[in-house]
Amino acid sequence: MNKHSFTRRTKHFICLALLMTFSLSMFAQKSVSGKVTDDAGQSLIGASVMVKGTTAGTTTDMDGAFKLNLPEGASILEISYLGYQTIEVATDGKDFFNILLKSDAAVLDQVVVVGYGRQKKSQVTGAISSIEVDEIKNLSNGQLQSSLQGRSAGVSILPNSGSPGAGFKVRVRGTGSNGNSEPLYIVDGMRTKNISFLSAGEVENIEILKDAAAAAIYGAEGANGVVIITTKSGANGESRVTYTAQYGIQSLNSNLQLMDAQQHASYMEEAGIPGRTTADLDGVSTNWLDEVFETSPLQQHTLSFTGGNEKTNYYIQGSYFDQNGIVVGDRDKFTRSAIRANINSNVNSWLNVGLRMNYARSNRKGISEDSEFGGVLANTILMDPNSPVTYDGALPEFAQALLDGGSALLTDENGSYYGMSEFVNGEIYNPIATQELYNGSGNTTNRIMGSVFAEATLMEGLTFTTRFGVDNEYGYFHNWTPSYFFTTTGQANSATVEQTSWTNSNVQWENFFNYNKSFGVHNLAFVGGTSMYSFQNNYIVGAGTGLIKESNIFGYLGSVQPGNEFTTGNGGESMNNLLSYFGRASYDYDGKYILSVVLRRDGSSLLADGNKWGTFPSASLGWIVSKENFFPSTGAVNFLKIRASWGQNGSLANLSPGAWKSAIGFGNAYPDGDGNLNIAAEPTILSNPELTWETSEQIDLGFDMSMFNNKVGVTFDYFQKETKDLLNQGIIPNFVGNNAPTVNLGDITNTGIELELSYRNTIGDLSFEVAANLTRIKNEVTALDENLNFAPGAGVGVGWTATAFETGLPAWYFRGYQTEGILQSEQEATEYMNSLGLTEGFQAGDPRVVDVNGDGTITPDDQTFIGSPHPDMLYGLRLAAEYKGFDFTMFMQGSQGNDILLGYNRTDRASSNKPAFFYEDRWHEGNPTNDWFRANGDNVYAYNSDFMIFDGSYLRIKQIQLGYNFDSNASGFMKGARLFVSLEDFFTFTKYVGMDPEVGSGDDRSQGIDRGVYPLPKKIMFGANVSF
Amino acid sequence: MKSLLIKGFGAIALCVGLYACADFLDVDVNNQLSVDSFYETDEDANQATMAVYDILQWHQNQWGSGWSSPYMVKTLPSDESQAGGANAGDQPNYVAIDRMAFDATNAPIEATWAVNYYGIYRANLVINNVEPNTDLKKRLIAEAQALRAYYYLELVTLFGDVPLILSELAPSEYNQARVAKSEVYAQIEADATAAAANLPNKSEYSSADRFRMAKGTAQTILGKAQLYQENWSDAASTFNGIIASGEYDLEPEFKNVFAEGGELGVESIMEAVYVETAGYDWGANGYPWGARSESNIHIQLMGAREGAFSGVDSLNNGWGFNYPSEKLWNAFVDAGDVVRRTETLMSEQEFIDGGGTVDGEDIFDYQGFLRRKYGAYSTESDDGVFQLNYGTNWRLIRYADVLLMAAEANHRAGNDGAAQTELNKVRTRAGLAEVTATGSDLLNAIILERQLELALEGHRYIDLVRWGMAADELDNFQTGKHELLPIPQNEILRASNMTQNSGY
Repeated sequence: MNKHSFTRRTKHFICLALLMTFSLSMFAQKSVSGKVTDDAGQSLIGASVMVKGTTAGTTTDMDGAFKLNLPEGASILEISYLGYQTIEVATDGKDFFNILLKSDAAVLDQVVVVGYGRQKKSQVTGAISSIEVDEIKNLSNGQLQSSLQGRSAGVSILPNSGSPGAGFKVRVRGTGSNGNSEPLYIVDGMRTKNISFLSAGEVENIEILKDAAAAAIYGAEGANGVVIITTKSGANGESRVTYTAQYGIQSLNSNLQLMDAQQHASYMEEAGIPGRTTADLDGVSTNWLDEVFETSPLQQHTLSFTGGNEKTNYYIQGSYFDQNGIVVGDRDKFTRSAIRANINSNVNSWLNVGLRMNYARSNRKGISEDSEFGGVLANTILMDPNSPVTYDGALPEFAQALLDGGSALLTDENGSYYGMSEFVNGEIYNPIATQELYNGSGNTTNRIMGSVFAEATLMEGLTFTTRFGVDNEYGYFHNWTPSYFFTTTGQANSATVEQTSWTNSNVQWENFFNYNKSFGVHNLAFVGGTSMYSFQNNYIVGAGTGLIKESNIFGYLGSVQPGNEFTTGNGGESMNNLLSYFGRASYDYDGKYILSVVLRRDGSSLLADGNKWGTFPSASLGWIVSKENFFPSTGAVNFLKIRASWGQNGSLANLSPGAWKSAIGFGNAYPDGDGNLNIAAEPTILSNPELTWETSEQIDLGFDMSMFNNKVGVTFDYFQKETKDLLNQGIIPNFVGNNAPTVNLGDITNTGIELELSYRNTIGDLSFEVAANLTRIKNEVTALDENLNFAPGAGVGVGWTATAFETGLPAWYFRGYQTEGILQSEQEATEYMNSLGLTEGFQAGDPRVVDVNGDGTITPDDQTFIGSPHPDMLYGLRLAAEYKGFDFTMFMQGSQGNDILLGYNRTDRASSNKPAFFYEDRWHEGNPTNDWFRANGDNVYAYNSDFMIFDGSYLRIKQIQLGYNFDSNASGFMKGARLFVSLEDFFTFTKYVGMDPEVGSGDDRSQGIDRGVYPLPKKIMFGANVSF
Repeated sequence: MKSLLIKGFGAIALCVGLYACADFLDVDVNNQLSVDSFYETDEDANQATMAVYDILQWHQNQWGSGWSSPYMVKTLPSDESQAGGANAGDQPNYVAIDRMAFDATNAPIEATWAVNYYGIYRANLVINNVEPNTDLKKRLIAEAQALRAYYYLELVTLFGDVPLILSELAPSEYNQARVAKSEVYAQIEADATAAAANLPNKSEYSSADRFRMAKGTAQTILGKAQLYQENWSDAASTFNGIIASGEYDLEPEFKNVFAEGGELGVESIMEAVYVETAGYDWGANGYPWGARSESNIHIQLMGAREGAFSGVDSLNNGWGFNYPSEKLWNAFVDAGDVVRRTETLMSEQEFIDGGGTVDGEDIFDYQGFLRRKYGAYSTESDDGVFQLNYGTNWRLIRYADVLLMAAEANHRAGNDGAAQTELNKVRTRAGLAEVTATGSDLLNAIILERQLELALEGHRYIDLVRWGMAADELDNFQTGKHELLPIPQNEILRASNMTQNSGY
């Protein structure tokens, strides 16, 4: 090979290489413009216009128009659009191009990001959902996951809560574990488990890898799906400054009605629960829902700069997000300030380098929620309606007596004592006063996440990439609580303070080769490389009691009173490493028959010697039927691809360092004869060197189809995903003499179908698009230790294990008493008891409990499956339309067939308030219903039964947005402007009677239990977007 | 140039691979000490031995299965006491044991089984892992051997044939079978003998170390094993040796035995030690409900039930379990034994005379008598939340028991004179006349003496069984079944080689 040909070829390789890493290379010289239309004369919006041989390019706007700076030497433009034939146009010195694209279903040229590379969508054999970023960029959500809800089939996203900054449970193809089932996130090639630092504005592209074929290249971490996020890179040529602002008002959107004071007193009287009688009511009737919720503002601002020249391009963004929650006060608040710098540069003809860097500072203040033990939201529901928010005049006798006895009753800012209840007690107290307990700065994280990379073209078709990434989070938590007295259970004699600092420091280094080669109709592509990932964590916790003064400036460990001890001091440091080798080989014959094989080998320091390494294979096939000669070229179907895949993936998410090890614990002690405690040291558990990761094995069958000149798109998938080797507490004979270790025992299977449909058309000036997706999933535990009837999960109230993990049933289903209506009379109750050999325990108005195990009586063993938190069906529907300068979007999302367990009632606190329907619908002699039980506060057969299970199905209109685009030509120096107004989460259709049908939880075992859920607020948003 | 590039990057990739393989995946786990780097120093060995003792404290309350105390499991089947509690549904497993209505799923019985094996596992770790290369380590190994003998003696008397586990089991060895009682006894004797050879006399221990197994403790366990196997002359000689050692004596007054001052005193041979200084409360420094607490929660369980009784001298209220039975009261009255009766239980009248009032009606399982032995004395818990901080030690073996076992062994071995001597030491302290009877009258006197002297200490059921008197004395006792507790159902489910005792 002579030098000349090498140089020429090298240029070509660089182009390929740059494409593969998103790097852009610019040789800006001359500005050209044009318009792209289809063969029906319609403008094509979002078509890609690239300068061939570079990565310079742009996309067409609303009118199908584009503007582009043509680098020197550029001679060809390449124009592509989903469902259309890609064409090349010679520049020939022209300034304006009228470009006509012909639809061609056989060439789906959009490129999707896959692990360690990119593939043409038409050639993809795995199940991958792409999220159109344009759809989500104008949402007001502070967390990216929230914007993804309902956007693609097979992906369920449930917020842990509606409070600002709350996390999510993201499930790709169902709950795949009894523990952590979150997908792996890859942000610009860097692995992470948490994407709370990202704002939608900086994201270019999101792909969700759902089946094993797509995810297998992530091996030991891919079992729960992979979400690949690519952030924006600089656009070519012309610099652009864009400012986006949104401001909105949030408020409560709830169906819940509570008993008023009169109803509450009547109910308790009827139930025979001691308390204030209706005769004693003093006229006070507080609607705690009205008192606890307020309207609160939300705002976000984004300023971005983008541009570049022939060597280098950049995208720089600063963003600010500020959301105050809808619970009164500002103790529920999330703010995030972030900056991003993405840079690409060509060093020389064969090497380009780049940077992706984000710094985000987040602060989240939260109140106690998702708890029936003192949670603010639960107490809103349970608090005595006969207590005022604050006392105006003299305190009632019982409160005065407490005050006289030295109890620290709390006051509001005006010095008025907060209202208390004489009869509702325990952990149930004034929810507004409860807020006073959350002082301090909350959770603050400073996070630096990003990577640098270099990509070299070694020879034709062969590139080498090395990428070094960091993901460091510096966290800090601070809270102090004053001394307080609410009830004898809810009190503290002195102030407490906690300060915690932690650092998560993750480093990743990846090196890989990409090779592409075609021999006539044979096309080959290989990826192969290594990855090293190291996770380090350290933390230090301090807590103390008794502050010099109970005020913010003394709310620190440094102000713990002399002589008081720090009640907690703790700290540690841990590390775990993952080393991986991966490869993918793809072959296609004439773009018709596609075969792809992936192999990944992972070694984890979390596991014992001899068991550190695992291998994860996958294979997939694709057949583009529409390319066959026999396929009618003039029929309704333009494109048809049939896919099949099989593969295995792992999940390390539930393993912790040393989990397999039998370590010596020093936590016990034994006293000597002088009363001194001697440390007793022993192995805390037995060891299990066989411990390994969870492995999911998945098959996927699907097809992609376009019809009617590509106006209609259909994607369908059937999958069966079995996750094996779930981590469970082992069960062994006691004569072994110590606690069993965690073992790999338990399978869970998710089976489902996914359907994505789209239709788009243009009629005159109106263009519109309808997109819908639908998912049906069946979740079932398919194996467990045969000695374990079920693994107990989350408790509700006192003494009820309300969720369980059991073979043949969905993961963490609701377990309680099954009932058959209501005992309508004392005689019926007596006969019922006689049939069970009981003499007491039931009366008229009580539920008729089913003797499930048939042992002739009712015991806790009769508790059984009463509901499932898993939806049968998830769906999303999006309508978008544009007419001249106006654009309109409506997006809705829903869930069907999931149950909610109403879990905030406390049978041990029988006098607490309840929803109004407990009173209105109750059985009494005048209302011989079978649908609800008599007035009572503590009957476990009512409160721990299927009476507490409600249909959690809902349809929510997530967004209705109307925007107007100002004509960019008419506004001088501005390049574009858009104003919009949105209603978000504004309309919810559900039969559920609680505050919100989306009942999540941070606890994997407690999904769907409403312990006083923080409701998702409805929002009215106003926004503007200006480019210069 | 091209090949240079390929080589360069190839080399980098190779380096990554090699570097990584070397030690990238070997990461220390901090704040954790692995088993193979422990059991090295004297301190390690001592802490490991403490874990063997620590099991003696066990009485847990696991939600769902309720309270589980080996003391209660040994006491409730007897005729000395009633299960008690709020009602039959409070702790149904205790009620079932009390009424001889337990089955193989009874949680306290399973816990008693488990606790002893947990102790054995920890003893095995010391015996097998500690090198006897210092005097201290030799002694600690001996302590562990004595404790292992104690735990096996508990198992063999309550469950009969049991798996004999002398080392840590690998998962492939989890399907153990039961071995014959004789084999278990042989191991107990071997362990106790070896331990006795290497243990110091109690008097050689400092006051702090008096809780440890001493030569006399190991010998007592040996003697008990011999007695239970009816090797009368061996047992007699073992017990006579302990008595002759002069290391132990009776407290001058019976009431001192169970007073705080009597703990680890002259009469103490083996105790489970608790303290009242752990500072448990209902909140942040919570009582460890599922673990080995440093305080004796069962003293609180056994206090006169709060709400049903109030106000008498130094006794706190408790949760009303394990009330003494009328039969026990009558036994004291019939024997004219006032001294020990007064220190063991009181009648309702005595309670009222002492300033107490009975507030409850139809108090569950209450036959009109309240306990004083192991009573909820305020002096036993005067440091914080009293309910959670009783420091009362269980007197597992005391010298009076040794004397009575010596009496029994000597009598059975044909030496009634020696039997009378030891029996009368106990009677004299109780202010009772000396026994001069011989033959079966002497045996009956010894049997009565054990009932009175050792009442409510967890010996009576085992004694009645081995004397063949259980069917006559215990309500609902089924001969051929209730001589032993059931092997816990879970053990049989989890190890198919396990078999059940007859009748269950």
